Amino acid sequence: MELRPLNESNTNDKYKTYELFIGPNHPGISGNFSYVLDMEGHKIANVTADPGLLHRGFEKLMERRLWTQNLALIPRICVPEPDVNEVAYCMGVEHLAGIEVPKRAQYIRVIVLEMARIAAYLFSFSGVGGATGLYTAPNWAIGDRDYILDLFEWLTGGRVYHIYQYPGGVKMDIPDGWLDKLSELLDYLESRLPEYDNLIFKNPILQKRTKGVGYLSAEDAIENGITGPNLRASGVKWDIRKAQPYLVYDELDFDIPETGDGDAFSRFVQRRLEMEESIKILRQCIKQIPDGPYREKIPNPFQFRVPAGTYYSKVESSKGEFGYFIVSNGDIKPYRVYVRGPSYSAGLYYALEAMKNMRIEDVPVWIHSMDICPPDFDR
Amino acid sequence: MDTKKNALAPLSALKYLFKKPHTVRYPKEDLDVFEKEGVSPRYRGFHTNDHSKCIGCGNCASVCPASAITMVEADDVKPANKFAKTYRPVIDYGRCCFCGQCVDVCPTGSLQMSREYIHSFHPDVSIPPEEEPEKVKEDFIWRPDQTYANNPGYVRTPDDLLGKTIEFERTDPREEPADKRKFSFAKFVHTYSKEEAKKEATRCLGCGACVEACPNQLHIPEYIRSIAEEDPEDSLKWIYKRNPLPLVCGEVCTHQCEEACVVGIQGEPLAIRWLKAYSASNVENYLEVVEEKMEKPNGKKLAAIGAGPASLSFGYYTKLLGYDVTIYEAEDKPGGAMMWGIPKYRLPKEDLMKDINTILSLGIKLKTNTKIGKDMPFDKLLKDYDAVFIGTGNSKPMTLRIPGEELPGVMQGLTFMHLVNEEKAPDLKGKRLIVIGGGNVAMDVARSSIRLGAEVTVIYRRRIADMPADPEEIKEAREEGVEFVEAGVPLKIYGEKSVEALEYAIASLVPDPNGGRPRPVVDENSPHKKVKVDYVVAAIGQHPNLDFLPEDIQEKIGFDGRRVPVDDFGRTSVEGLFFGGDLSNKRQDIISAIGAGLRAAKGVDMYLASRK
Repeated sequence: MELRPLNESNTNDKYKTYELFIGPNHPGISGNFSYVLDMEGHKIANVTADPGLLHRGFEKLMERRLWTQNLALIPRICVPEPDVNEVAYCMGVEHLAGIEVPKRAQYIRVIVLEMARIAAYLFSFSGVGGATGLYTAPNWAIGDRDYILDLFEWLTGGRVYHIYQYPGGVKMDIPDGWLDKLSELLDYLESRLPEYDNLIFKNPILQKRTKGVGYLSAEDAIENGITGPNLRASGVKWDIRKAQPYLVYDELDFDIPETGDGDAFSRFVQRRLEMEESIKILRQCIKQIPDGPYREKIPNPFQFRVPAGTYYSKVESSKGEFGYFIVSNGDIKPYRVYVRGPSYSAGLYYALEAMKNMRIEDVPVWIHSMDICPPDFDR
Repeated sequence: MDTKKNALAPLSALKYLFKKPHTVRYPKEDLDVFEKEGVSPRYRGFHTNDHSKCIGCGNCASVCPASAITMVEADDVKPANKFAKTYRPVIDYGRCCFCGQCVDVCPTGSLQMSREYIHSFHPDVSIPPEEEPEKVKEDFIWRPDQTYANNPGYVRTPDDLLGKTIEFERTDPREEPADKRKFSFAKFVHTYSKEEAKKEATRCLGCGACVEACPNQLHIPEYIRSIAEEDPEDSLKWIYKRNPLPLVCGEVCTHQCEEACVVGIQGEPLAIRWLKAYSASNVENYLEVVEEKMEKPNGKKLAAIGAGPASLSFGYYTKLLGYDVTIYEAEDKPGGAMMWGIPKYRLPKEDLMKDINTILSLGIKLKTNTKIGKDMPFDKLLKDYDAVFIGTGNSKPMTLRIPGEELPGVMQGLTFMHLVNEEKAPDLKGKRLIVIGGGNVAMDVARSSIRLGAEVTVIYRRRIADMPADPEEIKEAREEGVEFVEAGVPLKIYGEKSVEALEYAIASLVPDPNGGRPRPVVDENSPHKKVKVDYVVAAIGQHPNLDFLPEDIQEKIGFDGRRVPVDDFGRTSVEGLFFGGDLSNKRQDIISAIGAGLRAAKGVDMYLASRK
């Protein structure tokens, strides 16, 4: 599109190009993170990512804490979906220590992960609304997400940071009556889906703002290490839950929805469709969860040593592959932990390419369509 | 999913204008979800701490990932048990992340979390700004107590005790069953296998409550940690820092540490003693592993009297400091009570000699069959040596003081054990034997006699629960078939040429108003009993035997009851004369004697350094 000067003075070089900071505090950005945009009028000529504003030194802190102490720290790496951290970390530790997790605990983990996924997708619905000026969506989505947090609070004692996983299983069993309430909640959420469709996805204004924006080809997605719904929205059927099943995902029946257009709209729709699949998974878990122990015993925190070795454990989060590379030298503390956040590749590297030539008003749409969560690449 | 553009679709949201608003619900309003008023039943809110149960061990502070917990000495609480401290956790809620790990590792279950919380902090507007930091401190840093106990949140209930973080179940080493071991003097408790030792060692919380209970303050958490790391050699290094008799203590220590172990409050304490035995028996040559640096010989000479644990420990640590040490022993073998008092099924002689030979191999001179006072005058020792250490222990047995005591067949506990260990015990097959007393010596006599084929009864003047012997000794003795008579006070031994019968009264036990052990009282109403018996062994305690000391020195050192008064370093009022072991210790056991020897070694070093 040809840029049209607003008046004569705009043709002056002095005003034609300028530098624009988006973030760290900006309604259009999803965390304490900043892009510095070199603008030419409304068009972005060049982008610099400016991380570090949310750097909390998680990886270094983990080396100084006991294996189980870290469980209080790692959920904070990803606020919208903290449970993937706990599960991925525990899975890695269990693999190194050779701990077999009881079946019931694995089912509980799947339930927690899928609930967290739904909560994160609702969060992203609110992002869509926020980025496009559709402010009913955030109100609805955050309100519905709160019902999930209620159940989390009942199960784990915490609303956002649950600190519920433990190497060997989970900290507490499912309380009486909890699964019934979860069932009711799933019915409610399912009944809400058409409402979200009407409000968000059929909305002509939203479609106009998002269709064709931020196109990502399958090749580019793979080349840039983009995973999760973003990759699937570009037409690549890749889901760790299916490709390399962990926990009990191979016992559950679910599909990978296909959208495949690769633009912002299809990424939004991809999440909305996957939410349905998550509800399906949860329904199966409620039916199939076996009785039995919810945790395998491990030594107390002061004596829990993980045999020397390295392992990369990964789970499919709402944003893509969330991985923990754990190095142990056999001590009571990790030697090194590297966290692979799903937003890392998109938000920090691919953004520099993708945002070029984009119009300024599309930047928030792009950020929210990629569901970028700065804390997980700024560790 | 239908994504067809529809301009009217978003308008369907308008119907919510006529519905009840649903906004973000604060936890208090979640009644319909939790079926219980307030927040989640598992909510991790402000802490509660039951001060009558808290032992101040500090595990909560060690595990806190946010360093929010400080242990502060409290003067308004009573220690929960004999070994408990009066430190209490003070929590800074500005740091706390409410993860609940402190609750998980609390060994007593006293620390829990409630469902109380605050949404946000609004300082009172009437407070002047300069006082505000103080007010904030007051509201955010405090010592949890029972204030919120009526609203429990994240708590550990007794039924999920074993599913939690601490392993309360003990891994016991393999043991021979009672019906097999009672015919043999072979050691019946086997040492841990590598896996068993590791499993047991990983139960340790590392709080160090045991260290303070140990009469010799061994580095217990450190050596257990080394075992958990599968490194018995490093473990032995830690033990040797304060104890040169690791295998002896690993097999027969009175293990005060296990009584203090915090895991024992709700579960079974760690088997600290067996772990030590594991380290010691898994190292062939101690000295190669320990790598203690020996100072250059400084030309000063020391003498130690009695080759028991106190003198051996004294000899080891002074030798390391460069002194020339000579130990005088009246018997033909070193070891003292360890050699002659303890039966082989508890401490095999080769295990004892492994420890002793290691100590002697440093170059310590041992003069056996040399009784001071008989073979060598004491004054000569004082003159020839720079300092003298006396660790002769209690060798004079106490007598029953009842008629018939002089009859053949009446023996003293220590004399009997000496005979057993020399393998010169009388033939007891099918004979009836009565042991009088309730200490560990009485148990040794009883269990040795069972092994020699006797029918054994133990008569004690109080209840079994009051016996000073280790409870497990009593339990094992019962398993092996030893009979017990409570509140029995021996009155007379009958017999013409040798013992034929014993008469005893059943005393009434008068409770002690101070909560101590009850007092046995025999009056004319007490029932009397007379039993046929072939041997009577009195194991009712021992006296020190310091006859070899010249009278002026005896007078000078003075006696505090039966004990020789010494300072922290074994020093007495006589220059250059040091005491240790049972002679001066409050607790009369091996580990206390080793401690006394170690302290006296420091004392001697200080004394001779100051004399230069």
